[in-house]
Amino acid sequence: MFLVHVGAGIGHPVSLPALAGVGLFIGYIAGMFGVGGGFLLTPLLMYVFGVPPPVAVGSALCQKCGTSIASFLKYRKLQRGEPRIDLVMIGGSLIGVDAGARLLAYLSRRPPWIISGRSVPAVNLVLDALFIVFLSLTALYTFREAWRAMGRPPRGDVTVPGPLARVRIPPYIDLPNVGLTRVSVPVLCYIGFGLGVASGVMGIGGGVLFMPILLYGYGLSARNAAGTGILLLFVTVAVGTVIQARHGFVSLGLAMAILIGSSVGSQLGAITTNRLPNRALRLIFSGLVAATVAMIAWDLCKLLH
Amino acid sequence: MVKGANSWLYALACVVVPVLWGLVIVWGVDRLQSRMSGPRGDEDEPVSPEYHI
Repeated sequence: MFLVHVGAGIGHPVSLPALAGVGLFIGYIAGMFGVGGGFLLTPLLMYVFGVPPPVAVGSALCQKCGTSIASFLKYRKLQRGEPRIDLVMIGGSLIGVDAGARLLAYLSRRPPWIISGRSVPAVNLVLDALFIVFLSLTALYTFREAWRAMGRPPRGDVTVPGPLARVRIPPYIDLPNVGLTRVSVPVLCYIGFGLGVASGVMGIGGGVLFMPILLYGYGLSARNAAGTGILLLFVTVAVGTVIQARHGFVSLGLAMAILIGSSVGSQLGAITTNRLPNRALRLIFSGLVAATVAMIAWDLCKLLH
Repeated sequence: MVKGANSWLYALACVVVPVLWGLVIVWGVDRLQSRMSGPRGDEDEPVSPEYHI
């Protein structure tokens, strides 16, 4: 029903209501657990809808332009986090997202690799491996946090400087909003570059990597960490979308169908959040991420055998 | 890579259209919430650390 060709190299027609349904699911997850949902969207587009990996990545970034502007406005109102971190990291992140998009284009042009006598597309193999590694780390990290939070009083908004805050590579910057002094600018720039590459290659916002860095690397409180990086996220996905679209990897129709569904889903998810305790939400979330890892691992096994 | 002015226009549209949709949704939800419950001062609402994953 409502099968349409959405272009961008997707040879087969795609059902718009089904895409909106996936958007509804992604939005529900995003609203319920407070995540962006990008880590789920790219694999779902690839494995459920048969969208070529580069187009799945580009269209996921395009969809995130709509969701990240909403996050940015929300957190600007709350005035959490340290905007100086975003500003310092933007340069590295933009170079990174360009490098990531070029890497994706290079991988999609490579001839298939022969593994165990089977022809495997390079881009599928690399993306599967990256998603499995990063999502496994996320599932473990979230599960561990939920487990450790059991019976422990909340830490509040106190910053306890972590190992990255003590690195001494000049020049330095003070971050008064989060109580850190003499933080190395080059280290922040390189972290921004790494996050940008992840966005460009995988079509994710990068928070999956950034949150552990802020919480454990710099020792920020959960609230300040949540409010940091939103401006960086928006600028990175916007520039990433332009670069991917120039490579011909973005289907605007696909992205908008998902975005419309996710706009409704996120409101429904936010209502559910209020009915469940935070620890239960984290445990369910880690289970969901683990299920996604299992889905990708299954696809990788099918690809290789 | 797609060449020409049209590709730049399309790339720009791929950013502007979702952003506009996001702004409309934010505005609509704010309006709906203020109509349903009035201002409640929820600035200290707890936030989840994984919000922008």
